[in-house]
Amino acid sequence: MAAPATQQIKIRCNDEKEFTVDRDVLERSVLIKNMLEDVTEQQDAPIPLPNVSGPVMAKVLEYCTHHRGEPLPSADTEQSQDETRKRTTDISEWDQKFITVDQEMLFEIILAANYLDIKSLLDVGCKTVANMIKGKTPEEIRKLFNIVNDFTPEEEAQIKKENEWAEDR
Amino acid sequence: MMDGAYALPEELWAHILKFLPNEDLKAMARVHRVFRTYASSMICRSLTVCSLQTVNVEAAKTILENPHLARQVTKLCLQPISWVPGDGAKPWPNLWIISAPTFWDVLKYVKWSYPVLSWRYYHHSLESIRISTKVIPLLTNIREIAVVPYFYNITSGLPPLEPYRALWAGLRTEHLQRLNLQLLTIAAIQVMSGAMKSASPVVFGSLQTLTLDLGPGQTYYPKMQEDLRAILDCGRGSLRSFGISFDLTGASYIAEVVGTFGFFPNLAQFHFESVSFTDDGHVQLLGEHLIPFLSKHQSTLRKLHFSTFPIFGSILQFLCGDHNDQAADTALRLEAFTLGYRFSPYSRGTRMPNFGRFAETLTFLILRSLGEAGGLLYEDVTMLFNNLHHPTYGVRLKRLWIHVQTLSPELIDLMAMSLTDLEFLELRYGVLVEKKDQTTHNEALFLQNLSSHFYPHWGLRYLDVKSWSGRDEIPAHHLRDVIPALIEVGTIDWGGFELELGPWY
Repeated sequence: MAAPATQQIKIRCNDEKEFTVDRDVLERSVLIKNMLEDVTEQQDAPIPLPNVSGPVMAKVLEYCTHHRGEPLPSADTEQSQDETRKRTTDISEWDQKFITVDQEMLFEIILAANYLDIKSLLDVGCKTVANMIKGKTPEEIRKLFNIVNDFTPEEEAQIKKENEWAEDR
Repeated sequence: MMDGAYALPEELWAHILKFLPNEDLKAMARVHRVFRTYASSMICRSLTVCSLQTVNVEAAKTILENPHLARQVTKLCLQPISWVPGDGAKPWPNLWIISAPTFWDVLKYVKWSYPVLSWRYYHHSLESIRISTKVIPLLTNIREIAVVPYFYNITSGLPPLEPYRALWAGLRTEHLQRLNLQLLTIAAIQVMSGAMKSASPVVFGSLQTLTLDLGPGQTYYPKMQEDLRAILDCGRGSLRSFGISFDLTGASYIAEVVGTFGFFPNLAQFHFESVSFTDDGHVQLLGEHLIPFLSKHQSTLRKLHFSTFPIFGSILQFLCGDHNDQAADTALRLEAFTLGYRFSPYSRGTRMPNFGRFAETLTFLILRSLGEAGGLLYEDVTMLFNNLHHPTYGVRLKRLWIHVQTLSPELIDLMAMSLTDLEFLELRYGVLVEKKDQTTHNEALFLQNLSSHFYPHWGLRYLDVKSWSGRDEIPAHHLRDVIPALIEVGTIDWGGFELELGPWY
């Protein structure tokens, strides 16, 4: 007996770019999964995604296609802060290659993952930013992300004093 | 913001910060006001109280001046070296002072025992205790407490009562998860048990891990049972991991107290450590005393770690099914078992245990550091794997550490065929041999023979293989050539003997 054909779903991005994608790939996004579950009848109209552009969606779909079939993290497996930190550099080889993009695209992917509710992609993006920060001085971090220092010298001295005895780990 | 950082909303930056260690959080707190708010709340701090060191006293003062920092302190260390006269905790004369090696050692003892004799220490200790007593109630987010007597090697036997009281009576945290108590003297047990009674019961409500180091010189005293019970009681609620170490005199008595009164309804991990036993009868008795403890927890225990010499035969028999009728109804479903210190199936009449009853669950097995008798024979390894073979799952081991007397390509064959799920292998060998029935060292023929093998389907990823004599090593490329799945050949960092509770808890 032939396997049932995978349902194809159309989506439309904010730049009118459309994609037709297998349902199980799209369902990596909890947002879209919930939308599809709410629709009982087959719809031909594409699902509008007003917060995502075509090029970013193409990257997101590349990620979802690679990870299709993997179990979705459940809501109750929220890790404690300490456990999360332990996993800082825990990015698989494929994900690392996938996320090697310029800063603008990296932030776009993080925003899209957050909007579409794809936790694993959000974590890959955030870990990558965290790895960019690691080992840098405050001034280097400002330069990296184009941030203006808004502290007074007195505030800076106060923060330095407060942090003096925080352990390094 | 902005290009750059301003492209992301604050809540996503807060998520990014969760992946940073303390050092980088400290840097982020100095970058921008927005980051300061989030990063400062995530920085974990440890604080040492009741200490004579100026840096620790200053840290406590900083918290008193900036109470918002108190929430960041997650780890608290108590170093009870100070002394307040008149609080009822007189210095405790002990055996050590009688056998002090030199006159100067006695003087040092007196100096540290009675800091009141030194105005500087006296002043410091009063100041430190005063500040600590004020700051401890502010620390409502403590996750871990360690009580570590600072000069225990000299002053074995005289913790002052006041710091302990200050700690337990003042503590307001409801998040305490780990408690590590070094109680190396009789007085330390007495004082700690008394002080813990003054703690609010909610303090221990979330306790997950309790480690008791009772040191090398405990001897029996009349109230010992009552005092130890009072300490063990703090784990009655949610304790998952219990570790205890003690040696020499009084050991079997302590084991009896633990065996009789230690009960933690949710215990998943037990860690026992001891060294320097010389009396086999004594060891046997100690093992017998611990069996009731294991028996009571068999429905919840998943991980056992014994770091001891020698391993108690009676415990192994209980675990593995040869201990008369006690083991017949054991419900133990061990997932991890480690013998971390000198185990030999050939020494002291201890037979190679049969782990067969854990074939369905055992994924982590360490039989480490064999004694003078050398390692396992090929036949022992075969028997071990046969015992661990489950009809449905095969051998489920994911991590294995063993010592073998001789390492032959046939033994590697045996492992590749039997241990298909194995990910980590630590292997120690006496000599390299060409074939399993040989005993003469022959590295060249071993390598030549090995190169004719190939294990494309063996999923082994990490391999640490060494000769315990250190006289030869198998070049890593030879191993990579025959086991293509290998990611790393060399020392595996696995965090000592600490067994973290797995995600399934």
